Amino acid sequence: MASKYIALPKGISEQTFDAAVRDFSRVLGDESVLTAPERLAPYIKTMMPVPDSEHTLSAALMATTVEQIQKILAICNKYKIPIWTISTGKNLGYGSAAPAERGQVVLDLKRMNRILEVDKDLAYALVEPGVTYQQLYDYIKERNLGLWLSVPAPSAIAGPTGNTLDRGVGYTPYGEHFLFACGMEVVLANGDVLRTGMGSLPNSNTWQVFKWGYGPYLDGIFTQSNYGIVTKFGFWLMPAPSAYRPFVIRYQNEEDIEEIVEIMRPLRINGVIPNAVVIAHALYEAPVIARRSDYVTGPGSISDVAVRKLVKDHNLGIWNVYAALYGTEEQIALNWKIVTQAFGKSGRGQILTQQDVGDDPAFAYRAALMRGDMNLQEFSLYNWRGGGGSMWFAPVSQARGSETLKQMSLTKQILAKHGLDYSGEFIVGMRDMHHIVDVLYDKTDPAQEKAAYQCFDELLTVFSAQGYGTYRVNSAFMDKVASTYGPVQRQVHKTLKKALDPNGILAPGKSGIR
Amino acid sequence: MDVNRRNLMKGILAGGTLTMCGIPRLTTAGMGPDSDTVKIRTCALLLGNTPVDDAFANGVSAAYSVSSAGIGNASAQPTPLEVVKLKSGLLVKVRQVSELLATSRGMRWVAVMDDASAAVFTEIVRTAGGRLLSRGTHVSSRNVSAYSAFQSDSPPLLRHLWASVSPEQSPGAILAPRLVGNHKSFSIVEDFLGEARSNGETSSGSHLFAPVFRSYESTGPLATHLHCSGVSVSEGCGLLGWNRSQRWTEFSSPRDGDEGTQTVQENWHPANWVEALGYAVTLAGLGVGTLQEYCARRGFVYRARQGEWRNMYESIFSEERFTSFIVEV
Repeated sequence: MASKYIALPKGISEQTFDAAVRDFSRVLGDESVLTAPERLAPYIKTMMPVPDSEHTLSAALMATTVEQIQKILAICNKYKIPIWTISTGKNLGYGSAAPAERGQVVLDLKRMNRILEVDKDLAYALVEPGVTYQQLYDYIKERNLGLWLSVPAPSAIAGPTGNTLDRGVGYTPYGEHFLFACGMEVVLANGDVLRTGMGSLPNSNTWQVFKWGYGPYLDGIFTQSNYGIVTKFGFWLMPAPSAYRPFVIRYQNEEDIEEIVEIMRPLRINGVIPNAVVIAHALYEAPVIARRSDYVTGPGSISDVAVRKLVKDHNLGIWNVYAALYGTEEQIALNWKIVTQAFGKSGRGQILTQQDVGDDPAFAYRAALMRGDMNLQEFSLYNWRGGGGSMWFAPVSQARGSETLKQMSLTKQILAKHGLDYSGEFIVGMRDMHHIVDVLYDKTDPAQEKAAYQCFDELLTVFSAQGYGTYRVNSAFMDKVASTYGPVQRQVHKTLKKALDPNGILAPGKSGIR
Repeated sequence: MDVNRRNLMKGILAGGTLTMCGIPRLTTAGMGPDSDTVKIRTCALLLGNTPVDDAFANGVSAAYSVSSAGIGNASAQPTPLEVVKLKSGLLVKVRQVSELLATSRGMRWVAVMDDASAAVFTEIVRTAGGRLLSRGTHVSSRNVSAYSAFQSDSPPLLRHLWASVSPEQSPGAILAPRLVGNHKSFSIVEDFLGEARSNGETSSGSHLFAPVFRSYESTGPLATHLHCSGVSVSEGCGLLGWNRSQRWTEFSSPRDGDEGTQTVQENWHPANWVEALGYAVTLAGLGVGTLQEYCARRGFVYRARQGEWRNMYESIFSEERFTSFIVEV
């Protein structure tokens, strides 16, 4: 604890780090090179069941231009300083703003927050990485551009660049965010600046309208990776529909989920329902309106009887299916008929619209997210158990009813073994289905923290053995997930890393790549 | 906007005889070149619309009065404590809170909110370029089976987990003796990012804050202090989830007759643990009464005496889970 720094990069002496910090300060100015503990503290807090000290940064750098980033990378190459880049750093439940490894320098791009272009006619945007969804939302509203965003649950405080680069999702028809990405500017480890797709062609005006350019498509290798620093990001926006109808279908038995997915899949693939459909379990819904302590005392996971009581008390479904229709009134009327007929056949589900549910808070936040409005209510999940622990478990399967119950049963079984609850939802993308489970635990209870770690590790092990790959994970388990995809993919990732970043300065450990 | 601002200056203006009361030092206490660029003008309280808001505010008010009285200028009126209450919570009012921080430069905030809001608030503080001096997670459960099992390895029903910049900004040592007075078992863990600035004192030999505790230090890779009452050092480690095989050296033990009594002399007595917490967080936020132990991690484990168990069972804690902050912008 004698060091003037709260952490140092692995293998770097304090003397060497002093020299690097002096060089960073020459580029950015003293006020943009943070080393004081109270300035670094907001970067450290994670929700993972490992000591925060394992993810403590050594410094944070506030760059505002591409030229500054080029100079920072030159310094990092000179001293072999690892740098962990964040745009807005709101990766809640996946590691937040903390680096993957102790001592890494965080490059915080929040001050690179210019909205460079929003084209109303072609419905696209080009932004810098620090732009938040709230900022862009306000920009569009103020100018009455008639465009909608697609936002993830942290909406207002997160941003499109970071979310898309981590392959996050939203809830509108443009919810598969990387699918709607179009053109990046990337600073490579050697300082070169690459514009992907059509952006490399001088005088082109098609950078944000045609994704592929010529030759191998490169954008994908800059997502969930550490091969470059994205400094400009293009993506498509959804023209605001003239009509919008969100709805919920409530089912009262866990077994009903097979029927839900079987009905939903064709509606998704043929485009009747254009947005990703969320099928939320009661315990995923409940935190908006209830607390766990109202139903459970003592150790162990919540019982099925208690869940039933909760459902009854708050008029929830065991499964709550959220989707929406978009378009003209005529289109919606036609598609509404198809949807109600499909889901009405068995008589098991109760279909409800905004009018039916009134000011139901769960419906209100889902309806807001499905039209790309800013809303943070989903984070009520963190109040369910309390104590500040959360990890998202996110395996992917085919969108088939037969893939649901066995996953849910397996997850519940593993969670219960470790005394934790099943707070889960299925999201029917199109042909794929994400199973999203928030593993909530109390970080003030050391035994529960240990159990949460073991539980998450077991979930990854068991699910990957059954062929369910994880699409995204927190920084404490990146190596583990990377290993589940086999040695050949890891070697290819490593080969690319070696070629593009021979000194390994860019975010070592991201997605298990070093 | 239903962000409600008001001034609050009530409580015990007569102050007390805090054993380590001093002049509030409302300047930043960091170590780096970027740590002293803001001079703190005043202190404010942010209430996040939790069930504990009122109790926490009572403690804050009492602490603010004590510290104001300790400034030493009898003719000066203490600056009223500004209070902002988020009537519908931070998740709904995130933009207003961002604007609040952006327009309150030079302010030190004490805040309390639910855990969900806390996750977002931390992000807002970072985005605002704020300084996070301390963040505490607080849990009281009414898990009766855990209560009865506390004789073995289950954690106490009342637990506090702090991440603080240094012991100078950490409330644990202020809180611990006030919780002892409630005769309820508890644990406190504090992790420090930086060490306290040396004032020439050694870490050992000073136990004015909590004489009922036996104090131990471990000088492994992580300098750690552990203060135990009613449990052995090994039990204490087990209850905190620390390595039991760590080597410990005792550096302070209770004085005769001290064990089981509250010995900090002051006129204000908290009605419950949340008030005591608000008091401790605020004093730490004001830089008053904290104990500068030179360690990277500190723990307190207190187990109520056997005769007090029944009392504890009868007045079992209500279930409360929330987060406290000390931040500067």
